[in-house]
Amino acid sequence: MASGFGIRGFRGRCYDLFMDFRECMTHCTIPQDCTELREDYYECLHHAKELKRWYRIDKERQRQEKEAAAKGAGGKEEEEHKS
Amino acid sequence: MLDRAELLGLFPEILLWDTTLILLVLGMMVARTPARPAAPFVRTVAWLGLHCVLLAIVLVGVGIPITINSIHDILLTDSFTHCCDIFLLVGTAGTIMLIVDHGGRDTLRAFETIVLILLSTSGMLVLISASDLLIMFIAMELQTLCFYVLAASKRDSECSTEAGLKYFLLGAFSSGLFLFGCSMVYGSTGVTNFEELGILALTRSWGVPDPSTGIPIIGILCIVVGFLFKITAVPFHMWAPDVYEGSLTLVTAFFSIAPKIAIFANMVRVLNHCFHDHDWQSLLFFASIGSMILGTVAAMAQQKVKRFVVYSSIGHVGYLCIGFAGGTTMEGIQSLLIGLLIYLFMTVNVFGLFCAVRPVRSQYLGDLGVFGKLHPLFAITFSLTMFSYAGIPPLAGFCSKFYLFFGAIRCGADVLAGLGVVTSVISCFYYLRLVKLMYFDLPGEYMIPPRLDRDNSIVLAITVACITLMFLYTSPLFLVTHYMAMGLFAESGVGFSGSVA
Repeated sequence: MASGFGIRGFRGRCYDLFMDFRECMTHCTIPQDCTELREDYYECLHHAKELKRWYRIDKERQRQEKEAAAKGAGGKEEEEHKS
Repeated sequence: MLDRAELLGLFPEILLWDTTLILLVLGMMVARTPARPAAPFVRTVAWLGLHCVLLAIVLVGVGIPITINSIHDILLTDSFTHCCDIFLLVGTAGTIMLIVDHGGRDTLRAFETIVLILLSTSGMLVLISASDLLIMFIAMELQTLCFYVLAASKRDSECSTEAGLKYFLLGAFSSGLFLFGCSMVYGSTGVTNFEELGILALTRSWGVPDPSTGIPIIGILCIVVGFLFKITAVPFHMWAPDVYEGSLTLVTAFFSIAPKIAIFANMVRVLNHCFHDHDWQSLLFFASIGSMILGTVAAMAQQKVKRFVVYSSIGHVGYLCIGFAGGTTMEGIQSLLIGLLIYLFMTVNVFGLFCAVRPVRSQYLGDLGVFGKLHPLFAITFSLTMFSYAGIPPLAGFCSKFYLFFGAIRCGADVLAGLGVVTSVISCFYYLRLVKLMYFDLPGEYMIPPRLDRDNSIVLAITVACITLMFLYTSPLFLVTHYMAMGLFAESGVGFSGSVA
């Protein structure tokens, strides 16, 4: 993935990000300077942040939908949720 | 395409591959000729193989040890690999020298043994300079596949077949584990190159265990366990005694010398370059402690010569692991390399002796008794080697152990050093027991003393001279190993952070 060879023969998906990171690592004085680029690379690989964000958005939407549904059904359940 | 420098760096490997092929073709052509007896031909092949290895030593030696990344960064040549190559080839040359005169005797009928030894040596050369997880695995498989065949090469012997099978199954299992580790590492980081893994590990968010942004610990552990299998460190040593006992003595000699060098070199490279975060350190720490204790305790109870040597080599692997179990410091790596080289000399020497007595009878330790009376030179050589294994002061073994313990204390692993000293003292008991057996006990039966053939005598003389006279002039050894350790740490400027114990 970071090698530059993509699965369909073109440039790999995360190649550019890895090259940025690598470039940074060759010039930086302490490795912690490049942590953000490294995070970007890992994000490209695993989409962990993206998925986490989607999950939170989805959860929030579900919560709101549930709340709306509860409001529609009656005030009693809403009270229970709040407590 | 390879450029000129890369091609020059690969010359030793190319030489070994070509010679292997030529010897194989030559051997097949001659073996098909019914007029010639097989045995002298094995001798010829061994002789040619020996000269090929010597030539490879020269080729490595004359090459300038500069840092070269060749073939899309999958191989790395620097001063560390350069010197490790020489160690390995010296070990191989020593083993083949023991074989040359055995060609005509009963044990070694097939010239393929030599071909396989050369092939696995070229695999180990690649392994030493591997700088990518995949090429490392392929080189390791090339080496071990040759070993499976070598272990089972004595087909009419039950022990040898069993040894081959055991070695094959456990070796395949450990390779599987190793490969699984590699795949985990690749899956989580997306790279397989050592240098790239190194820079990814270097910026790890310290103290924040986030599995999605680091090199997975399980992957590293699987890789380390695969390594520990291959160097017969303790929790994973089960196969070693049976395999070493079952195989031919010459094959056992090769098993206990050459792969140790190659795999230790590779292991140091991988653990030092890829995984700075020292997740693997505690595993090596325990493997080292376990190996030292088990090697000591189990060797005490052995009656058979080869099993004794195996357990003693397990113990020595424990001592060698001290070199980087406490953290990859410069002193640690240096002492590991010194230990490896001295272990190489001592083991070649011991196997030279066992090969010499083999035609008579060498299964049991008690049979050594006869040599104290009938073959004094042999007895003195053997005693010196045993003293050196035990770590008695003026000999090389002492130097190796002393420096290893010193390195352990320098990086704060006092427990390892203390335990090392204790086990080393206990191991004196059984090493010296052999000397006592030889000089003070009456042998069960008197035998005709063995005839030491010429090549074997040369090997014994060289190794004994190295063992006994090393303390007079140790600076070349220290300089060379220092240079090697520098090469290891200096590469790509990454390794220095790994030296924080």
